[in-house]
Amino acid sequence: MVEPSTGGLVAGALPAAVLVRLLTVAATTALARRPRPCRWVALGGSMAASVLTLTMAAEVIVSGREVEGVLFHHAASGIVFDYAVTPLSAWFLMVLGVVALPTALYSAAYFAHAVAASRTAVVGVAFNVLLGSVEAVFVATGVIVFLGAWEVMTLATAALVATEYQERANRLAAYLYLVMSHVGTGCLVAAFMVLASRAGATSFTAMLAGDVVSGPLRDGLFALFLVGFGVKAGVIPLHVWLPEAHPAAPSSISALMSAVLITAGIYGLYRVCAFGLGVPDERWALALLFVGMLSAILGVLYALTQTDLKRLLACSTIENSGIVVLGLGAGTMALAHGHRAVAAVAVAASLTHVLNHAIFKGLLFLAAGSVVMATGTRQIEEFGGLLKRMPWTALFFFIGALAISGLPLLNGFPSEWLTFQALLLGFTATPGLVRLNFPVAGAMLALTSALAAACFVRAFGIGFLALPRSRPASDAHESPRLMLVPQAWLATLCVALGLFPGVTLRALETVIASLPGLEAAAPTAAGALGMAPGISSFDFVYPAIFGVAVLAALVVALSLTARRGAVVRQVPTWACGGVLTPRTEYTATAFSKPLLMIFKAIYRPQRQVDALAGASPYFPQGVRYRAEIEPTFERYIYGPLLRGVVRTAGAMRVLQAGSLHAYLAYVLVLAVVLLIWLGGTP
Amino acid sequence: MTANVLILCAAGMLVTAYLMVGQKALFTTIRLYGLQSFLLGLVAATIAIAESRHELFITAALTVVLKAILIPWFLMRTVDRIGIHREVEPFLNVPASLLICLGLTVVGYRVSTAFQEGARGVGHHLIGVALSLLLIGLFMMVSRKKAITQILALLTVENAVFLVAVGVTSGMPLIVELGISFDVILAVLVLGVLVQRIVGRFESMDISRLSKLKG
Repeated sequence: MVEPSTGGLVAGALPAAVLVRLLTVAATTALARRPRPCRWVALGGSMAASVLTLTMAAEVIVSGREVEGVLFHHAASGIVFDYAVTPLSAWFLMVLGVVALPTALYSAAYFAHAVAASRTAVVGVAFNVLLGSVEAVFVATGVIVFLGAWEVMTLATAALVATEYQERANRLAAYLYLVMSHVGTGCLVAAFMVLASRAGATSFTAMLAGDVVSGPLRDGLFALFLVGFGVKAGVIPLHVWLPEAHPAAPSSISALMSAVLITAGIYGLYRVCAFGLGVPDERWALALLFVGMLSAILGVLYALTQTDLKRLLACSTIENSGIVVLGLGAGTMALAHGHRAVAAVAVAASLTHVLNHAIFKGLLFLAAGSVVMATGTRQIEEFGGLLKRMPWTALFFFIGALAISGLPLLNGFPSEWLTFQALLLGFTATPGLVRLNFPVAGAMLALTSALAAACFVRAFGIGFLALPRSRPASDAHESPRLMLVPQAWLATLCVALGLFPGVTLRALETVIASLPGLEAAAPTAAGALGMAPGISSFDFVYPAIFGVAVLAALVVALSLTARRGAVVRQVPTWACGGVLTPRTEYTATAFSKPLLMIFKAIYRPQRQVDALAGASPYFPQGVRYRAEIEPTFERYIYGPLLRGVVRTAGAMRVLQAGSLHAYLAYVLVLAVVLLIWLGGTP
Repeated sequence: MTANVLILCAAGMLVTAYLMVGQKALFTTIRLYGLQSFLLGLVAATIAIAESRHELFITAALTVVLKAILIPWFLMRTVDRIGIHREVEPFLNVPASLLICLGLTVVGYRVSTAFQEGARGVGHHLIGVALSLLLIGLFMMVSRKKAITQILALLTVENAVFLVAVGVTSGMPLIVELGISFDVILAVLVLGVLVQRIVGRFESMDISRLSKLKG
């Protein structure tokens, strides 16, 4: 056990951050009538607080020493809010801060356009409350504070999703989010109560010591926790709220939700499911692997068919959450079989992906926000030609798209590569039939990566290249500089962490050392330049060297063409003798059509073509085309569930008759029954 | 001698409760409550004499003055003032109600044997009667429509609790007694006002109409 540090500069960082957030909320409320200063105070305060938490998180990660302290102590009632920043918490705090900082800066400009002046204060307060509560979730030492922060986080997010509450779809999205979250929180409360009663304490150190429960009860608790945290993590089949809620919120909030809210669910899975209930069971690992696989593959398949840019990104969040859970599943499987070094690789892969996903998905959502602001629509089919009109945004979206596709030189690559390594190592490390899960998961992951690439080729190609397809797209203007700087920062991080994955892995060493059951010093980093799982000697990758080689090749190629003195002609694109109009362009729907057909069994596409009859059926006035894919989970799982709940609730209304006499009769009957049952024997 | 008086008074209280259940005239029901409270006062006085605990005399006096005289008077005045039908309107008819009360009395007596003090002797009867009174009071609340009878039912329950307190523990500290007495007065006052409001709003004292307030 490492010695907790209680002194020094860093110890005061978290209380200071809390204070800053509270003051910011107060000032934002006070300035509610003046949108401009209100916006700057809210987001400036948020940035200051994020800087403080980032500093502390970095210090804890580097030193590997926990920071503990008390935020609030009320002696009379015995209420204590204390916090502990373990290396794991610090890692998630850092992920939060890295995205929250640029998002706040971006929002300062973005909210001026995207949020009505009268709502500025509400959004500003909710923004701070959301970030503060997620921070509280990460550093909570006891279940009371944890669940309290968890609920505040849910409510703040719901408020933000319903920012544009005038639209019915947004209200429904917020409602769906609330319902799903409360089902999840219900599971968490139940499981934590059992755990607390068994441990006889409400502090995490006692409850999550690993020896509190055993046997079938432990499995049941795992299932409850998996559902509870799974809802927030957005894994399939608990994902239904995610594609609705993410597009409904303002874009910078979507970035936060993808990067932060999902991460809170993942944190729970780590803290409780994988490392809080003792040595994991093989069946748990199978469940995690299966859920991860399902989320990854179905998430990307759903993303592929979306024509709403933000919905597409939301579905891709499901996919990436799946990849993170897949890595965690591989880790728990290795732990269940006692392979601590393999588990360390898998956990490192999964935690790296948490960070990388937060960065590139944050970037993509911010770029999408710029596009949506410029064009006034979220439909990819109406974009086109944005590369010329919004060159910087296009560049940043391009970098994000490359990163999320897992291409080398960008930060999506290291984490996916490590996940593959973990799966391969897992195959060699586990006995019997169980090992067959690893190649299957690997194949699924490979397919997911390929489909993700296709998905983002489509998003970028249709959205940014060729000719504008609509008036708003041809009138689009580049976003203000204040919105580009945060994107540039995230894009730089994408490239830097892609070129130097060793930095991430080196930072993770203390985190991995702090988790129980993992090989303390799995040498996953091969210097700052490269990475290697470190178990077998021949697996290593140096993206930076590869990058230099690519750059050198590029320079050589360019200088060769330049030396030959080739003449550059600029002519219009050849159009087979016709005229190129936006109508001749490939559409997003058409782009994904072949894949839709290949995966027909999963999508179950339905389409309807109506010819609007003219004088003759051979010359229709127009054609109406409608295509949709079957919402499998909504129709076959949530539909029956919902009807069952509504029916049960209807039946229970009889009890709630509204008659005072009926209620009094319940009391009397209960009193008599209890008296006979409990009081009958001397 | 003391034991016999105590048992007689307790039995009298039970009988008044039965009569309240069986009675249809509102004024008589209120008077029966007064009689019940007077018997309760007698219980307190008897214990005060037998165990020579003089503070119990104050309790007895308070009980008689407040519950046997003041509260019945106030309730009758309320009934007079709002000028309603002076009949009790139960959901169940009288024979069925009495049968149910009989069952509740059996439960009360059976449960009283579970207490150390209630296994035999005077305590057995006092606790048995108190529990029965309590359940009968609850039953009256369930089965009556008028708000005034609801108040009477509540007061009956209160009498039952008081009976246990006085009979088994030989009386609570005086300050607690005073507190409870004022509580009862306040409750009756508030409920009386509430009844007048209900009548003013619904032109009836029938609280089953309150369900119309439900959204």
